[in-house]
Amino acid sequence: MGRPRVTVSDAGSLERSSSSEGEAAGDDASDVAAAVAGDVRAFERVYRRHVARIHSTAVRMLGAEEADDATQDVFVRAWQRLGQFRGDSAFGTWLFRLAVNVMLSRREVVATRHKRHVDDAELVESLSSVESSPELSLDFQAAIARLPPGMRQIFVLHDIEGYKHDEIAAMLGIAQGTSKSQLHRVRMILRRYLSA
Amino acid sequence: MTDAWTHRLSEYVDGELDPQTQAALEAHLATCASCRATRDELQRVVARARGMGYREPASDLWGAIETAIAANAPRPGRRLVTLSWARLAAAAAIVAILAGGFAWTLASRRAVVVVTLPLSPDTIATGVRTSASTGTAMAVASYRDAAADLERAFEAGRTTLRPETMRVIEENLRAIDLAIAQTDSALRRDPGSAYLNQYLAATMQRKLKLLRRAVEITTARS
Repeated sequence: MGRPRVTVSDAGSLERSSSSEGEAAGDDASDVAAAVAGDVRAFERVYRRHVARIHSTAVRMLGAEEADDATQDVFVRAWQRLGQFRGDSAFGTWLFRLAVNVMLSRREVVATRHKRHVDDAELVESLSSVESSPELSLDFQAAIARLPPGMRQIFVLHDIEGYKHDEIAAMLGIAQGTSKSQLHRVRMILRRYLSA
Repeated sequence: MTDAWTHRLSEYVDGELDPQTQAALEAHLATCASCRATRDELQRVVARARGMGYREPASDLWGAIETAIAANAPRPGRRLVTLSWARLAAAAAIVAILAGGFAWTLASRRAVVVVTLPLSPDTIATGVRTSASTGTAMAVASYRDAAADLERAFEAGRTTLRPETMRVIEENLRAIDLAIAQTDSALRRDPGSAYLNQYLAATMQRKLKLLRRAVEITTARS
């Protein structure tokens, strides 16, 4: 199951901490319970704990121009559906799954998905043909942003968020084999941008 | 450079190969500098991805979220939407009557009913353009209200659905909305067509039926 692996501290350093995740889960439990009862301040605390992950994922999956709107949409919908959270998983897991669904459902993404097979070949070709010279190469994150939507979603969910191929296949409605082969294709492209 | 093993390297990096295949690939790696280099690059891509971390949005989004919550959103609770099943049943019945009414109108060679349905939630506010009787307008309004009820209920329960199920439902809804839009367009050019009027009514019924089924699924899982 996907899980947050890394957080960025105020100083920008990367942290891995199971104890802090445990504390966050405990905070979530009490705040979510209060929010279900209508406590907006409690829900704001939930927002503050999770917004970085949701917004960063929105940037990666939808692009920076869509990320703010998508993030707001996620949290408004989360508020509306808090009553459906039954605690079967960590709240962060439930919220992130909801966020992925919201992002996948946004009209622009759906529209793009219909054209994906046409556009993918051209985009992949353009990315694959770039030589890895420092002058010409894109930044690693910019290269991710230029990936076709389907490939980008698989890469974000698997390599950044830690979801397994069977989970990704279920979320995106594709075969596991497709998820694996597309991920390999993405990695083969992105290795050209490692020095950037 | 690629060879027969290159496409398995990501699975190797992820530890997803069966022991036999892994052993064969490792034997190949011992003799293939190109594949070793590719493996190393793929490992670096994975490490780079896992270290990307998260950043706060450049501006605080909470204010807009709080405003939206205060202005529009219902308070959270176990049941977000109370469906008016009576209204739904009435709308479905009226839509059925509408289809018959169109045929009768044509048979009597009187002015035909022309109905322009709301083609999407965005156009609902524009209301119904009709040259039909007040009764017809009310019937269409009843259909519209029932469809809106069901769409809200579906929206509230969509997280309980598997994504592929949700996608199938949404694709069907889009197909139905497209059919309604195309029928509406055709009716503007040929308002006297019994076939188009009946097809429009049948398509409205299809949408109500699909939405009702979708809501039943979400309700059963919530």
